[in-house]
Amino acid sequence: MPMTLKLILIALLAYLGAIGTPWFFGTTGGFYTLGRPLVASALVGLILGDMPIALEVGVIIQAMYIGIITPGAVMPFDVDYIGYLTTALVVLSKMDPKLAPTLAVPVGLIGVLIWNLIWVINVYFAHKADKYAESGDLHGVASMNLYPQIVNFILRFVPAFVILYFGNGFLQHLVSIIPPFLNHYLQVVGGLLPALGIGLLLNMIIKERIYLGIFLVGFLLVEYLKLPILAVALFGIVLASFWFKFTSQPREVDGNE
Amino acid sequence: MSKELSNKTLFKSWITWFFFNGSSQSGERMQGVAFAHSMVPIIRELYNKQEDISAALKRHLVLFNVEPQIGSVVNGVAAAMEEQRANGAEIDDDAINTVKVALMGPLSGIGDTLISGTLIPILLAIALGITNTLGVVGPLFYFIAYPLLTALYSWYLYKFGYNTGLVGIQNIMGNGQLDSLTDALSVLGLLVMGALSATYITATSPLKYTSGKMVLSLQDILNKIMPGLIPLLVVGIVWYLLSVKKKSPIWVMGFIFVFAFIATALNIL
Repeated sequence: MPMTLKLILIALLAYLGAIGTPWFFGTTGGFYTLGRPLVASALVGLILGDMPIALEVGVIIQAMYIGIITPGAVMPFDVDYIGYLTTALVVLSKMDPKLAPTLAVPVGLIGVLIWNLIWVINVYFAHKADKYAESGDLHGVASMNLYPQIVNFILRFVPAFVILYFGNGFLQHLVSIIPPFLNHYLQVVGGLLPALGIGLLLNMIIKERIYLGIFLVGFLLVEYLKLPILAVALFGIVLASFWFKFTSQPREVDGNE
Repeated sequence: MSKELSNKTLFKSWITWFFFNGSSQSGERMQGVAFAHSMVPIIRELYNKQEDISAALKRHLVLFNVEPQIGSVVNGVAAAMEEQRANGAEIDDDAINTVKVALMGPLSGIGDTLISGTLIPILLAIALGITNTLGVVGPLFYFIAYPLLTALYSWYLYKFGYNTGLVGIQNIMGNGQLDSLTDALSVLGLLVMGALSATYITATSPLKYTSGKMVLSLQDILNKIMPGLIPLLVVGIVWYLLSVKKKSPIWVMGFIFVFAFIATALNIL
């Protein structure tokens, strides 16, 4: 497969996994599945024929952005663009996968800019839908939920392809001139950035500070006992079942008999 | 003769929502056009007169915004209300919109916490764990598990909303079961996030103090006390900045870049 075709495929996937793209089982199969960096990196690995490096990048950036949620569709970083473009650029330019988190930052911000633009353009289609509703045109209203995808496709696919096509050479040049201390600095940043994704998630699910203790237990299980995440997750499922059982007891014990 | 929506129509309405809920999101209406789109099969089956169709479309084109995956329950409730209205019940435009608005706030809160904040990160964390040992099986696991699971509960919730209406949903939200479930899942989520932090946040100190033949390495000392102390401190600081200091994610990201710069310049990291 010629390289240009490969880049087109990756850019196409970046569109399919973008927020709002309906074609692969809606938001669920698209943004929340194809758009997750771990899934994206596997697909990039498949296309570019370098699964080990692609997955190495995917694991790092997925951990970093695991806590990125989009409440009310307000998006701080675009994980879809990050997943496809960062992975592909790292694989193609043969840069150190440890630098992926740093590369992900500008890529993610470009994705957010595009999303904000789409967010405004789509107002036009809503007003058009109002006109169709006025005349009771069911097809017309439905089509106003489909036409925005033309805009979405152009604004997602084209920049993705351009970044992949020109970014590769640019990055190869950049990697060759990067001084060692900067390289070390970027690696340190990359090692720390996952704390942001996890911090965001903690901020969202912790209601009382006492719950931080459970987070600490998970942390210590790995640090001291070297348990794999899967084992911790299984412990967690058992713990959560008990938690549910004991907190959801009906409170009418003395009412019956 | 009373009109009853067929199961096929309900399914059409749900699948339209499931696929196209984000398709036309905009700053002005959010998912309003998508909601109207999902009501098209319902309206087509219930109303014949042009003015009824027009009125129904207009009342569903207003602003709507919900966590779309569990939010399908609202589409179910709206379908049931449209059916009652078409059969002559006294339900005006305001009543239907009031119910939608009343549900979208709490449901978004629950949905963001349960789905984006808990279910997705837990499944991803498990997938990351699998990837470390079995490679591509990890992403494949998530690729199959998440959409399948979500399609099932989303359709179930649509039917639930249609069958029980607003009252049924308020019962569920009010009886404490849901709070317990959210709580239990956040316990699981926190435990997994702790494990994830220990695995993926990496920071070791190259700082050494040499005096004659004796070399004191900060990292060696830390390893003897608590191996992941630096990563744990960093998560703690980030959490503090986000939750207590109410800083934005971008601000905290900038902080990490600056912090890392100072730490590397001083040779601490």
